[in-house]
Amino acid sequence: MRLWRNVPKSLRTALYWSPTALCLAHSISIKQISGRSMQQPTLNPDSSIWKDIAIFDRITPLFMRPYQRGDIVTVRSPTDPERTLIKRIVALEGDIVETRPPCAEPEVEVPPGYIWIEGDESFRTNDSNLFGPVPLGLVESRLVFLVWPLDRIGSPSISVPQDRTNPAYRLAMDQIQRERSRQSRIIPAVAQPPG
Amino acid sequence: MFHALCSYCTLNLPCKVVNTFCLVHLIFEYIGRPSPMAGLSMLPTLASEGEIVIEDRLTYRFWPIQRGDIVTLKSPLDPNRIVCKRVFGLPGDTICVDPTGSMAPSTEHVVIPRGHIWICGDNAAFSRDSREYGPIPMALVEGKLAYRVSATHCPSPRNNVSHSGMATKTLYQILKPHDVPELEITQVHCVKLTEYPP
Repeated sequence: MRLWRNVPKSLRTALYWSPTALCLAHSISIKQISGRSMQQPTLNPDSSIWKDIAIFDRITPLFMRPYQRGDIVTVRSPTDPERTLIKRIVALEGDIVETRPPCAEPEVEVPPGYIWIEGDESFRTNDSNLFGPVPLGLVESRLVFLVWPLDRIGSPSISVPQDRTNPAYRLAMDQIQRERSRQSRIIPAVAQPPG
Repeated sequence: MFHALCSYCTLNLPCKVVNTFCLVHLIFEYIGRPSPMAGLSMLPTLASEGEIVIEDRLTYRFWPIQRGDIVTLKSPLDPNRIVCKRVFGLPGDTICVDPTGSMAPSTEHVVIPRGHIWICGDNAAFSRDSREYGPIPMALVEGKLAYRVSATHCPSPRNNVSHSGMATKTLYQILKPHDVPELEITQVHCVKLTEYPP
């Protein structure tokens, strides 16, 4: 007891309130994204000299907005429980996906409770095309906001500049193209008619 | 700062309540907790209802899971469900999918890939496990069963025994309709359970 009283008051208050702080930090976390292979070129593009830092959210997927196609999410790696991957959800349960090269079958139906995740550029990533659909239970959080670098701050969306000569225009067009091709590769699950 | 905001105003008490909730949540999530168990799949080790166990959520992060451990994990079929199964195989093991041949040919074997485990319920007849969905990623594991608190609202301490009798009876009915006497199957089933892990 005397030991506890000898601890400075500020430290004691910090310790007392640490559970709240830890819970908050766990539910809405700021993390640095390492590795260029994950979500090229949406995150950590070659042109950037910094590693991206982003805010990840674990709360809203539970209560408000379930994971949807197109979300960028962190996933516990199915082949190595220690590692966390960052990928984009391409298809949800019941969808039929046209797969990319490393996958043996040309078309895969995602089983119930599973999702299909991919990196944005097929030649750079290890994704569902390699290890197949992953259980939704492995998904941890959703990327909601990029905080660093400053020129791409905000939620990762595509902004098309007015000026066609701007190199960013070409990049944006490329991204739109990629998104279209991603959407064209899936046949969404049909809602079961009642009865 | 948080303290300064909270301590000298009317928010003091709510803040403390939230803080306590957070502490309890952290302990339950990362150290251990009592949890009720329900379901037929772990008979006769755990009763089908009214069973309370102490989950250990700490040690599996530091010491690897072993064959024979009973683990709790997020169901690969539904992420909102927590299921409880026994670990049968670790990465690299070769596993016979179903020795009884009811869900797969009894000659079918699987090598468990890296980072995956093979899980099975003790009550094979009433369990959806790796025999159905294959090896599952280790990252789905949430904890290990450490202790079993005696079943709460079960009248007799031998509740589990009677349950196991029922379970094996149904197993017997499903697997071998006519040719094996019931007692024999019960013995085989139980011997298998007590022998495991090898």
